[in-house]
Amino acid sequence: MKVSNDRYMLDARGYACPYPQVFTLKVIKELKENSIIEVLVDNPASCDNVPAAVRKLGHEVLEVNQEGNYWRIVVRKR
Amino acid sequence: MREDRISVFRERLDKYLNLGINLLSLAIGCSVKVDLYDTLYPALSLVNNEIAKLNIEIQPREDVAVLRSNGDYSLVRRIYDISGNGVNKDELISINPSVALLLLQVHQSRASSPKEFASSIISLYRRLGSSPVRVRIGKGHSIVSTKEKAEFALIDFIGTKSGNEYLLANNDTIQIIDPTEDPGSYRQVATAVSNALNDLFIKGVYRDITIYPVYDAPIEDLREKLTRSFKEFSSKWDFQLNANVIQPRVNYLLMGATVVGTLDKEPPMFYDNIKAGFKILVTRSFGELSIISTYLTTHVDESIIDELERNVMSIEDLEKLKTKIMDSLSRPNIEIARVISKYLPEIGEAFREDEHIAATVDVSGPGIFVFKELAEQANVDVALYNIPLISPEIAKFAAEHYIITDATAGTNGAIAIVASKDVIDSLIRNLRGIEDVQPMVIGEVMGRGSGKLFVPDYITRYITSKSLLMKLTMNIDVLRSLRRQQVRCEKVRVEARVLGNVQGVGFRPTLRRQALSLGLTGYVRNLLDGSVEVVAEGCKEDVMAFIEWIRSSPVGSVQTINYMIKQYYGEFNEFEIR
Repeated sequence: MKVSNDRYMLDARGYACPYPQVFTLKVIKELKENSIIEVLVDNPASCDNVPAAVRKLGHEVLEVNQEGNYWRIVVRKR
Repeated sequence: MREDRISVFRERLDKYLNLGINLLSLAIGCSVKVDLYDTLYPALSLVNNEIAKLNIEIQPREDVAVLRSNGDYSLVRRIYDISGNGVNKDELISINPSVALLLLQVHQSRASSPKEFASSIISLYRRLGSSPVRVRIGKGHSIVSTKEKAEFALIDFIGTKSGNEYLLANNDTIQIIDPTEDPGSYRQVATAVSNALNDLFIKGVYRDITIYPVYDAPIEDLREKLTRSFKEFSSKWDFQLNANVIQPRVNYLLMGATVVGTLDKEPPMFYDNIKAGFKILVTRSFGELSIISTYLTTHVDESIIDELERNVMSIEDLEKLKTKIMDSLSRPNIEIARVISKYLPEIGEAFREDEHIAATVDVSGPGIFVFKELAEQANVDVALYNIPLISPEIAKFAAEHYIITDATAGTNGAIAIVASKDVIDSLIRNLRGIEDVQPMVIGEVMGRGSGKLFVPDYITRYITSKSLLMKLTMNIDVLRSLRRQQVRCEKVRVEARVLGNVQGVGFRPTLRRQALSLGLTGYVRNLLDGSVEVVAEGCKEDVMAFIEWIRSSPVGSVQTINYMIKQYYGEFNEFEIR
């Protein structure tokens, strides 16, 4: 989902591991370099796996914040 | 062809969505459990002191509950909410259980940290532990749901009188094994029950087995389908089925069982007799879940098919492999149990290393981690020189793509056996010829020790998570309070400054999670010069493991870490972000 120019949001809440990281990597492929994507996850395993997976592919993880029952992970595409 | 496969899967997803089931919200295989090493074990350590004051006992980590028995037993199932509302002291007195098997299903938000999980379960423990009857939890099993209002605590209270044989009991459940198949299908249920049975089989139990199903579903049709599959499995393999036990009914897909059986030999739990030179045998290769998960993921993201076909194998070959695995997972390993029982001492006899199996372990859920747990249980150091995976290529692919964090994990998988070289050689001859069994020696015991595990360097291909790898190979006490013998702990304090790209990258919450999982207290805070200050207290080995972990932190990038080990003050009750 596009929030504004070059800023996107992926709500992967309600999905169990491994789907959140699979969806995130799939969406990042479609984006332009330097775009920002916010990913929301609520499955505990994915709050570690999503940042690890995007970092491994060379993108930048700007933030990982727990907000109540879910995590907001902010990524810059590189 | 490819489009057909994906469109059939999408139709199935839609069909279930219309019935209120999101197949993609269900955990596959063993990933359904509350994380043992990051959440469950540390949580139990947090509430250890309080549990010590209650009339409750959490028995050391063992695959299965083991009781001396005269052959007669009763099983009473009760289902409470997870705070334990409904636990009745008078009823506990009248049940007078010898052991309790606990299945907890909690919403995932409670499984996000040890502290969160500990505060969720302590009320249930208080209620169970405040009657005159001592409740021994002989086997616990905690699973997560992505759906709210699907929580429950199911307890099977087992009562028996001491006698001349053993009664073994286990509970295990699964949400779904393979969403590309119909939920509730025979193979899914057969795998779930076989997975619960595996923990009896490893102890040599194959007689008088009764299955007490545990299952739930969002709709009546599916519940009936599950019931039929349980009946079909029990009659096909000639197990007793007790289908009259109550079920949770929180309308969230679940299948598994409490299984009970008898053993007229001494169970293979001779941890103190394990010594240098004993060999470790596995009955087949492992890593089933990496294959099932990869197959499933190709249906969710088509570009993964292209990568798979370019680098590993065609999707048709992967499908054939997945089908073969699903077939073998749905067959119970009962023949192995018969062989194991031949190598056990008669009741009352002592263990002899030239005749008997010393210990066995089920290589299912935690995959290779079971060897770390085994090393700790037995207080020995173990070296594995081979990690036989069903498909090393798929395991590597799944780990690289973060499809699975531990590509050695499985379900109803291989069985590992520890014994002297002579017994292992004889076992190999006896195990050959059983369907799905290819016995092989994969490692050995180095000697008595503190529970270290040495694994080949190439393990990093199959486990990409740094924190998981550290738990596997560093001298961290993963079992903590569930260890048979407590290790001595020298308490220290560390004060550290971490320099590098460590602010604004989620560094502090990540550090806090790791600190809690290591049972440390203290704090982490940002300093004005861009560095991060860390103060942590706890057992020296855990504190040192924490420092090493920070050095290769999975978030940000650490240039240097300056630290000093100081005297322990006991200043903190928690690990805070300041």
